Amino acid sequence: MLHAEIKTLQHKLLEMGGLAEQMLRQAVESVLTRDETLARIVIDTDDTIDEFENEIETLCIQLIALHQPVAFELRFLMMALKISRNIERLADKSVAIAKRSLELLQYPPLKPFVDLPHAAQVIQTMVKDVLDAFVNRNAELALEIRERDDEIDKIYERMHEELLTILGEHPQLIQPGISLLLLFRHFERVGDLAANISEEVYYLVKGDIIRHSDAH
Amino acid sequence: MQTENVPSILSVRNLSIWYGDKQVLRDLSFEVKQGQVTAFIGPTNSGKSTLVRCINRLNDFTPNFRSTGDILFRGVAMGTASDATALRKQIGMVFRKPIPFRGSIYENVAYGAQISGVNASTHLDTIVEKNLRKTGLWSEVENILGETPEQLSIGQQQLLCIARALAVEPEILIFDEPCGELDPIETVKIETLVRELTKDYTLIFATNKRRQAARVSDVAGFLYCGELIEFGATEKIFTNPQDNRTEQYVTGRLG
Repeated sequence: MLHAEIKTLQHKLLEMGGLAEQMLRQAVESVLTRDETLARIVIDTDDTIDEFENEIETLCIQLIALHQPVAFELRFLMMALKISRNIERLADKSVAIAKRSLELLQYPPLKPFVDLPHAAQVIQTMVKDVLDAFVNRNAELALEIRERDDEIDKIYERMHEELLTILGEHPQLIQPGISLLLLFRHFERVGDLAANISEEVYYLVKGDIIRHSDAH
Repeated sequence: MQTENVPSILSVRNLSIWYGDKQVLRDLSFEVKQGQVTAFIGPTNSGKSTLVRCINRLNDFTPNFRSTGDILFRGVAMGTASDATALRKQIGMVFRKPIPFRGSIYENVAYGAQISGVNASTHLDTIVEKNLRKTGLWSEVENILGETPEQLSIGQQQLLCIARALAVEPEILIFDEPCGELDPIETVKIETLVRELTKDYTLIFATNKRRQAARVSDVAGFLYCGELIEFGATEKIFTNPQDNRTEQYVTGRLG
């Protein structure tokens, strides 16, 4: 009985994750192609993500109360709560990226995006892979995803420094520059959130907490 | 499960019960919805068994039994039904201790259908097989149908009693502590079966195992000293009960 409910819950989590993945893709696209419509779609989708989070939380609490799960089922329900929370935060970051994208539309392009498409690619693959690791209970993939966060951090630092150099030379670009800086920061946070989910997937499969251990 | 918009099959209105001077149920009112599992939980002597026995009219012959209020089955007051046997055909009962009848495994399941007038043996064969399959017991007994049920485990005997109750095609099936005598594995079997049976039947469950009620029921009622303290969606009773006594009971601090 609980087994069937867990399947339903997993299905809901995947739907939510898929939607968040789509939001991230659209938000990135809206920045790269300066597409206002896409940015607004991302902002509007956030309510659906919030509904998913509420629904999943309610279901987890009910299943814990009604079935008193142990072992894998207990880990699954506890991690479902955390994963849905992290997916919701991830979707919030996509909304934030979309909002920065709208701000940037008010200015001419600041500089050609070189690192950003690469960072976006890495992040989107991370989010997609972490959902795959969750479905397939793949702890090794989860561990590997977690390490990819380092790459995001390095790109973030590089973009950050490059932008500071540009702003030093062209102080009149301070406003779009700040929007872009915040946007980079949101990217970096998405990487952190995907890494959090990978740690939760690892715990789900192996039962070991790796949150505060070294990624290497 | 959503409880709104599901039709009621049984309505209990202001039901009070006395054994002599002792009042054991106090002004109970609730609706049992079709196709759902309604569980009554509560400590020993809270009135659970008395309540479910009333729904099956098993108290008719209890000395000094007296009741007020109504139990309506499909809108008709059960107290007015002159034929309690016909009523019990529609509302079956499974007890705590499995009590197979004398005779073979086959005869146990065929019995109800036979006294209802089914005689052709091929038809009886179908009824026996169908109902043993519904309980998941068929593969375990298909080669020993002519033998007596004593050789079966207690859990298998309970499944046999459920098959026997199903064979008369009731609309409601009442379980009075059906797992009281069973081990944990057999209990899981019965609980899984209960969930499956909701496709075709309405189930009423009396249990003092609160966790069991949580696992199997859609709607739960908490009885305490003959009063229905709280009645509502099971997930609500077990996550956010409204009465402090229910909270105390479901968390194991009362009863």
